[in-house]
Amino acid sequence: MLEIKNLSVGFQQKKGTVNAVRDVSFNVGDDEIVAIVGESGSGKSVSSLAVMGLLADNAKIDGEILLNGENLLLKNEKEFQEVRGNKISMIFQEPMTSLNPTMRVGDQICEAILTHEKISKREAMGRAVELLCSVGIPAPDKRVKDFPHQMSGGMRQRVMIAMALACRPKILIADEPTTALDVTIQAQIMKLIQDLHVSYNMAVILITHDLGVVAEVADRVCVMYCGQIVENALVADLYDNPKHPYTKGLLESIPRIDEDKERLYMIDGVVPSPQNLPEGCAFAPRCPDCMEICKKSRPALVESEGRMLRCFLYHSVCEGEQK
Amino acid sequence: MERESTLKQIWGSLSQNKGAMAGLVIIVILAIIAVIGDSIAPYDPEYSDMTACFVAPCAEHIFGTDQLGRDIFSRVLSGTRISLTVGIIAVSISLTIGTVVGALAGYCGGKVDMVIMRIMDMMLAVPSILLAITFMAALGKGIDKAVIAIGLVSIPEYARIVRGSVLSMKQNEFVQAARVMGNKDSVIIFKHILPNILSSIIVRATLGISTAVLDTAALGFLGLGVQPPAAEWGDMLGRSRSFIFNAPHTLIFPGLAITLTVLAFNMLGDGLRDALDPKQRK
Repeated sequence: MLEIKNLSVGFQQKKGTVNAVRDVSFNVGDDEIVAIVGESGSGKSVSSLAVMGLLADNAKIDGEILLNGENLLLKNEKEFQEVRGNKISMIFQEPMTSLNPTMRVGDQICEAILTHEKISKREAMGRAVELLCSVGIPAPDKRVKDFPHQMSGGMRQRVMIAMALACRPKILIADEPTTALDVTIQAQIMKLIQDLHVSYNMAVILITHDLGVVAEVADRVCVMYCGQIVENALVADLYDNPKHPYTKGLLESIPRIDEDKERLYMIDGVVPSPQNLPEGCAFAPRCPDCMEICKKSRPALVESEGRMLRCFLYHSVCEGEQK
Repeated sequence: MERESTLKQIWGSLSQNKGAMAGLVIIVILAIIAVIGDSIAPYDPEYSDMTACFVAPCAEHIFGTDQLGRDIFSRVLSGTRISLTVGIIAVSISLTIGTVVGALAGYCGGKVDMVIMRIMDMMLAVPSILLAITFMAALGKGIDKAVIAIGLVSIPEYARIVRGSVLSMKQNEFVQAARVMGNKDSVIIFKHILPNILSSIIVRATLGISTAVLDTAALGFLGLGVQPPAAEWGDMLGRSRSFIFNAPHTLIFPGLAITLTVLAFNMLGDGLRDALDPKQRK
């Protein structure tokens, strides 16, 4: 339903353009949960903001974002407002600041409904109560009159989700929805998102750096590194048999309870700066399986055994060269 | 129903604040005086009795008389109307225009911000009284024109405060969340951003009333504002400046009247700020 084709985002700055997202393509099916995983600065959030049309003015966007075949990037601001909240919605990382402190939560949910639908305030309020009920807030008819500061972080995130669901969007983008919450609440919110995904029949794009969360809820995973997708595979395949050296490294660095280790594994080196990317593969300087060709040219995203990979190890031309 | 209960809550919180209630009572009294001041004054505020200049406060003239033998008590009462309207109208003008312009500059940023704020800087660069005189030269004489001129002159102050607050408020995620929901820019500015920066605007506005009254006095002193012999507090203060040592009562009473008005608006504004903030409300 949502197709992202060759999306590139660059930010123009005084010293030149910084390419935050480079040639990203992926699809989100009708009832899929797709996780986008990557380190800070890998371009996860920028890609999602591009889909929402919320990037700053100095952003240069190339490629296509197709929602049911319609290219969102060709829409003007007014047409885009129709899409936002109505067809695609988004929840944020920080529930403490993502609700307006001077408005009652019920009014905020109503506003989200009334922006896109012509119904009376009373009906909207009824819907708000139902929504709060469906995101698991107790006594929703009383809670609609609360101000955000009267709620806990977990409840605010639930309200935020209720607001995002107000117009039954087709796609929900969740930008690290559980990062700011404590672990028990994290599990509840993820469960909630999973349940709503089924009951509202919507696709979810889950942006996170928590691989544990991904394993539990996602259907498919896109691993991003330096603004590019390096591996795109079904969750089971990815965890059982990671192929890209970066994905391997990521999975390796998760501490396990059944292993006794002195030191945790980590990937050597640091993420290169987006202004100063290596000539070849962006991961080459840190890659344990780096080959000569990796330092010279950039691999393309190719299909290999039902998944997409951006690594020369899996390019047919280089097979003979493997170590 | 929702709305009523919010208003009720604001009032509930305000009525518990003693300072704010005192301020409100004083403002109500001043407003009543403004309406009926002329009829309860013991003397004609413009009648001059040259045989009784500089009479110190006594039973007959409780605030004494001024350099022309006019009863100061009557003049203070009758001046309430002009001073109060001048303060309120001038502040309303600068507040409304300043807030809209500042919010636009802060929210839109870029070229809009650049153009608006440079115009504001130009207005700030010229001393405000000089600018007011320039406006009056264009508009003509009279107290109504003076009010407009004073209102226009203080727009940049409000614009700067509002722009700064909008800039910092814009960074909050709830503003982005509001955009995600598909809200129009105008809704975001007026419903999401402005209510959150109301406190700084209110405080500035209550202080602005006093500046407006004094500025009117300055214009009156130059013969551009209120025309003699009409009574106006700032004008009375300005004209009796030279008698500060031999007849201090000519300054003290109009001065007190200005102070009391400003204090009342300040206390009310302070209470209003707390009452409008849901977090401070009990």
